[in-house]
Amino acid sequence: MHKYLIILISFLAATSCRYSFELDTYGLEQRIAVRSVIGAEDSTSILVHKALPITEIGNEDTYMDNAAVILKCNGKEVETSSVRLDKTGFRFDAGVFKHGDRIEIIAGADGIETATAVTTIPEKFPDFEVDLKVVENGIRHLNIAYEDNPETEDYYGVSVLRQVVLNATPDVLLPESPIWPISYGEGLTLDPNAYSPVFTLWNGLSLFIWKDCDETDNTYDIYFRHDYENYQIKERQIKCRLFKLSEELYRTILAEYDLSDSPFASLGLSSPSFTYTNIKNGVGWFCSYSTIDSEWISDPQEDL
Amino acid sequence: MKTLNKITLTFILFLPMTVVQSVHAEDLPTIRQQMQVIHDHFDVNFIYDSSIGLDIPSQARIRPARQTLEACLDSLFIGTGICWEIQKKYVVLTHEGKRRNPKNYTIFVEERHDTLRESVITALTAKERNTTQTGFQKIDGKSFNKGFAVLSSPDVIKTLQNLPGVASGTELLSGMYVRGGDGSDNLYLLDGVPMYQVSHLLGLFSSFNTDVVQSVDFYKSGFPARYGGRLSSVVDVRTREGNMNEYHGIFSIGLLDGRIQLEGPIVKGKISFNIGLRRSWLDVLTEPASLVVSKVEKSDFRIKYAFWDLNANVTHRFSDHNRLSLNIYGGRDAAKFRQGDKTEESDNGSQVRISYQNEAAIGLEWGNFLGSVDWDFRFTPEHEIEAKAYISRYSSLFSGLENSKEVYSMDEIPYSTYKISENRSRTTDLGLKADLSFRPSETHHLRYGASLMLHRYSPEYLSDEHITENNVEIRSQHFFQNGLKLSWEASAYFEDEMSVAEWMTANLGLRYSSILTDGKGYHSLQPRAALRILCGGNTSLKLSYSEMVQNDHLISSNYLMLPTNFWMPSTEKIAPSHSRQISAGVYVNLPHNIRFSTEGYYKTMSNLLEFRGKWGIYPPIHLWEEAMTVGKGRSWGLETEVSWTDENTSLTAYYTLSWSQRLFEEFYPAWYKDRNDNRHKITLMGTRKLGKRCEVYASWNFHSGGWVTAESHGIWSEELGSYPINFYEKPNNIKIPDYHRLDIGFNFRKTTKRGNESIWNLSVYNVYCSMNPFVVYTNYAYDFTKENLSGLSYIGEAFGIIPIIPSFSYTLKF
Repeated sequence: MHKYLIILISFLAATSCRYSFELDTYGLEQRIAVRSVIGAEDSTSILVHKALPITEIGNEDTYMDNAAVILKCNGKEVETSSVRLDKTGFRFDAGVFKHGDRIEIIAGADGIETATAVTTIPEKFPDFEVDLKVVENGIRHLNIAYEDNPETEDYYGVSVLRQVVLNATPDVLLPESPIWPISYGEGLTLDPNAYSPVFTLWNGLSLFIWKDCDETDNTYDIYFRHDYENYQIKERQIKCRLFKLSEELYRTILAEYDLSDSPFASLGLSSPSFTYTNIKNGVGWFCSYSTIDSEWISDPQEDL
Repeated sequence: MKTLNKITLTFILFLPMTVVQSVHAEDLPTIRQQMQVIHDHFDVNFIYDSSIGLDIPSQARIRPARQTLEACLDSLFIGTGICWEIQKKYVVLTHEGKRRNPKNYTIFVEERHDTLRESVITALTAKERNTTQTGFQKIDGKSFNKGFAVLSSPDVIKTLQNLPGVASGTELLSGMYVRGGDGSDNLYLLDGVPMYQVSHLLGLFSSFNTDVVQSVDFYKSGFPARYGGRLSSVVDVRTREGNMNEYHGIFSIGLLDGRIQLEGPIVKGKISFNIGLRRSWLDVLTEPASLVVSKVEKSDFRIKYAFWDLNANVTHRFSDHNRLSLNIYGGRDAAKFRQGDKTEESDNGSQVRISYQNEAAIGLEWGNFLGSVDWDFRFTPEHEIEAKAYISRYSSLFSGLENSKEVYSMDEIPYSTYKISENRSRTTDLGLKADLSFRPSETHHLRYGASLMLHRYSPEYLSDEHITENNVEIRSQHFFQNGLKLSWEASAYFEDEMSVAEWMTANLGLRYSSILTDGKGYHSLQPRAALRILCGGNTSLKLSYSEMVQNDHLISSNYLMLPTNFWMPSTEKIAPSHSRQISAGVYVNLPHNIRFSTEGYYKTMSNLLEFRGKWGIYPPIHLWEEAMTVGKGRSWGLETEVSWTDENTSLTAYYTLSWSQRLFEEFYPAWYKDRNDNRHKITLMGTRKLGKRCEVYASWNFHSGGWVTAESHGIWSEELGSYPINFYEKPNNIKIPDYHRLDIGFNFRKTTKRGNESIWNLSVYNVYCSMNPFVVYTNYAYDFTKENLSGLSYIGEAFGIIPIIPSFSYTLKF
């Protein structure tokens, strides 16, 4: 029914008058844009750019003379090396951080206010079990059961990858691809209000995300269909890449999801839930995660 | 005439914007006319035995600007056989030699139909200067039909939107955002019964039929303890009971709607009725337009919209102290859009032809039903009770239909899909309340009472889908969900309006309210205090403090007033909202009929709700608590009013300087601008009588633009690609264009051969066609004459919907 409201608004728009006006950004200044998603036990890259007020687009020199980053892990400064990416920014590389490390960044450049941010690398994803069944008309139900810590507020994510071998001579192994959830209301007997996953493409990942209070029984459910007709498939497996997200990463992904999911967001007719940034005096994101992969699970063959 | 123990009193009230008198320079003024001058200057009301003749010429020369009230009264009544006595804000007139007995007054409302002199006689109205409360405005029902009529149809909400401190929000929608509040925190009462939805046609008309409205009490602050349940304002609309002695009515037909009102006695002097009916006929206009579009587009296109509402009242006066009345209100809006088409195409260039038949339809319906039985009884001259039993129901429906059929030429087997989904919401209140009034002395007026309400909230979702192949159903599904919640709400209050001294009055009160939902209860005590100090005869200072609690919440995923919104009570996860407001002002009657007032306020709000955005358009019915996030608001400002009237002209100017902010830490960790943070608001209104039978009115409305959220920063370079990577820094960072609009209108009055009054109204809404924005967004613009990114710019774009709209109406009063 989303499209019906769009039809209604489009009808009103069609009978209306459109005009442009100059934006007044009321004293917006240049900012440091920090973009970094730090993975536990993984090398760290931080992108630092000069961000201009959008009303200056095309008018101002975007060149960033220099940038300096101070990175601290648990209060101690760590070494970084920088590489110029393009005229607007730099990449800073650092070492590997562990679960539980508290990482702070101070980023500065000439003529721009210093930006700061903090993130704590989440602990490992808790013990889990994954189960996959066919429920109806080709819809799969993937259930992830995990041991959540009731004492802490935790944020989770999962990317479900599919591996398919097609019937051919010889067999064709398709590249891994992410699965997509079923559309709103597509499930026949599913409660469309209960199953409303936050699923988004973010930074190259197809992610479902949730926080522990969303789920009261320490399980997470995903419903999806496969793309190919069954007679083409010889073998199909899926694997879960499970994430424990820092709060900053969860809220950053959620903000982008809110923007894409609501048709009213860009029209100024809904709440500003998509404006999250954890960079103080700057823009962008500085966040972290830990990840673990499940084993490959064979897809149920009942309808092949 | 009545016996000595029963004196019939007539209260005369003259409102500065509506009372116009034709006074010929060569005629002596009558005593009544001189009384009006005294009333206007000294702000006193006259109480008198109706046997006293006041329409005799008076040779008295009164100079209110230079004389005291006593001196004016002496001059006016000397030698007339009329005695006068000042009682607080009233002047009581009696025949010389007769003594009035204040315990035996009978008060009734007398309406006079005088086409030449528009004198309005109504029940007691408290003048702004003399009331204790700040932020209070009383509007007499007659004033709606004697002045501004937007789209030739007078409107309560449109009138209130002109007032300082009231933001109207999005163009076209009848929002009322009072002193930084949200649109859902206004308490609308129709004869004491709460009303949840007050808009027709998305806000061009309100649900209040001005033909039956007697008065509107509007509070922005200084709320008396007898009101509660909402944070920001109270709109208390009272309808008239029918005339007990004569039949009267109004018939009106306009460009967009028609109205009829009838009143009169069922049993003369005992039982009366009053009925008002309104219906729009936009559907009469849209039906032929749809047919034209269908022919041009070669599709089946239908669009239809209509609304109606009905007010009905039956009053039985058992005696002057005992009255029973039945009030009913029903109203409905229905909008339907439908489009269908048939197409045929080949399948990827093959010989196979596929024919498609599609139909899509959406329906929007919403409406209210209110019913109450009221009993008013004065069991002693000092004690009065008003008891009420009522029902209030609001229901809405948003439905969507998809019906498609495909037929392949190779097998001619039809494949059909039929899907319907509905979002339905019903909110039902059943209530009992009792309000008691006790005047133990002349310096105290006590009010106390209690109410008990059962709320039933029932949002529903229904989905039905059938797929057939060759007319055989191969798949079907049905899904239904109901988020039913019941809650009990109880309240009790006590307030005392007291005269502390001749120059000081105070209203102190306390309100208790509680709500119980699913075993979880909330209780609150809400103190209310208001103080008025008279400085000399013409100036008053006022101060007030009030706390308000709102126990139910409007769950909405967007800022449109759509039927997809639904009400829910406070629960274990969502606590009641709360506001505190302090307000202070100065109110002055200046010479030459000039009134000036200025009032400042500071208001804080907590436990406000905003939609978190996770669920798109529709808040989920059973997870609505998770869909909302909690935050705070604060606002402050200064409201100023200047008005001037004389016999033929009235001019009013309002100016508001205000700030409004929100703090929702889930969105942003610091205070940010509220979307209705309109820094300046100016309203200029004027009416002018052109001769005896014609008047012209005009109003110009301006307010600073509101705020929307857009990207604030970007990084871009040729290496990054054609378009920048944009970021959001904070909410509500872009100001939309300022809003301004001019409306003018003319009323041409005539007396028909049968002595009835007819009025032609011609009006123009938005005279200079200011296309104020309905929606706003940001976009890129590219100058292709420039190289690379230097030709790129970021602009705002707005859609305006309401152009210039002329309209007319014809009204007959009989």
